[in-house]
Amino acid sequence: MLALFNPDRYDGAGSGYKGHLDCRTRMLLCVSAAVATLVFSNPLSQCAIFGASLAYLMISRHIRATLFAYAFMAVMACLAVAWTGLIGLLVPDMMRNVQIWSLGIPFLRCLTMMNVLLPLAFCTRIQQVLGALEGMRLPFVIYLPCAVMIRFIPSFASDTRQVWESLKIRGWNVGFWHCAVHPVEITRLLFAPLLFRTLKTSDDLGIAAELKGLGRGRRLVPYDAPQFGWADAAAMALAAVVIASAIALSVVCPIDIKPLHG
Amino acid sequence: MKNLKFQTKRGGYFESRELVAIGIFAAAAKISTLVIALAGGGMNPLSLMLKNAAYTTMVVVLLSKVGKSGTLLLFTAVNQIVSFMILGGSVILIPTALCAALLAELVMIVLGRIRPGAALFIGVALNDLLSKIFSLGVSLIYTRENLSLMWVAAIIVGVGYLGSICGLFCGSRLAGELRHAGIIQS
Repeated sequence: MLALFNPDRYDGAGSGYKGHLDCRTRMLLCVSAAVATLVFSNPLSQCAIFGASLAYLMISRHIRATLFAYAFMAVMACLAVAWTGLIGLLVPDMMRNVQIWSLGIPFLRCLTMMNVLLPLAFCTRIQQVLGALEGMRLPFVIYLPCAVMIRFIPSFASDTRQVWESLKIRGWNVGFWHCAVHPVEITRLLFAPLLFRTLKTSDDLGIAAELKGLGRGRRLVPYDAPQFGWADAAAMALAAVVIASAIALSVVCPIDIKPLHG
Repeated sequence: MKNLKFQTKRGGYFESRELVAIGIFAAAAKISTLVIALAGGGMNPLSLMLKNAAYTTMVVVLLSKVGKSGTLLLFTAVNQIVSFMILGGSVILIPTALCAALLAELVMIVLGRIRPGAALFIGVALNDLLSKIFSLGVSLIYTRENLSLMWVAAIIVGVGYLGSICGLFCGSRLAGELRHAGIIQS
């Protein structure tokens, strides 16, 4: 994601140990974590997966981003608790059996997912993502829109920034307060130019793609072909060990939390 | 312009310009929703509605521009894959979003034979509804230890769906205007 919004200053390949991991390995780790964290209800198993995912995140050395993400998750957790409390006040019967500690496992699941998704977002260069897409042998009908989307997110972010600045030049007060009080107006002012820009870019690029004969020629050859290495094998082996430990913990110490019905 | 129509060798069904349009709209939808969410201060219900409205408007305009069956499914697939790879989208939501898009596509194909005018409108509405229901199902699995959290999620998703409904009308009107102006030819 950093590469998307700051492509000139970002060098994902050199950022820590995970810079050496293949993008496909990182994706596989995300899928494994998603499945594992969904399957287990045992708090010890969840803690084991969370600890491993946190170690994986910490190696990426994005301390500020990690702290920001954790602060955001803390705010979200507080909001969820506050909402639950509010519903409990309004409809007491609905929240009769609810205890705050039972929120732990769902939030632990969210944190685990965040821990594995952040390195994927932070340590991946656009070229690596495109290489991974090509390496996955996706059909051309999926590869081309994905490549276009990845390439054009930074351009659209830049366009949006320009539209925002042009509004300021024209005298619109587009601060946070104005956005909160007049969201429809701000959306119209931002959204309409962006939509026209989208249509124009899509027409221009579509004609360019057809003139270049995209989709008619031989298979695309990536500039920087992704390759599996020892680091990928080690990461996958470690992931397998962590999942095996989680299974062992759930068998040895069966402390399942019973579902609480609201 | 007919001379410029090439067929993709491997796909054959979608032209390159349509695939590019899908990618561009997916990027624009992602950025516009992100900007609205950030401008509105995150969990503001109004910004939540506007975010969904902007997304649905983009989808309606895209489907009006690329009027082929499978466009919605492809758009959803591209959006979910890129969200997962770059923007930290949840991998579990990919199959649910694809299922919703597939069902909506089927409904659009069937309705397209009976009432072509309403097919797009109903299809997009159904896609939004199903994707939200399925994502609530995923939330149910995530929060199975404390089901009361589901009420919070259901309220937030419900507010978001109201925005999607607004986006449907807005998108239909916008597509009509763009067609009238000759910007959308189909």
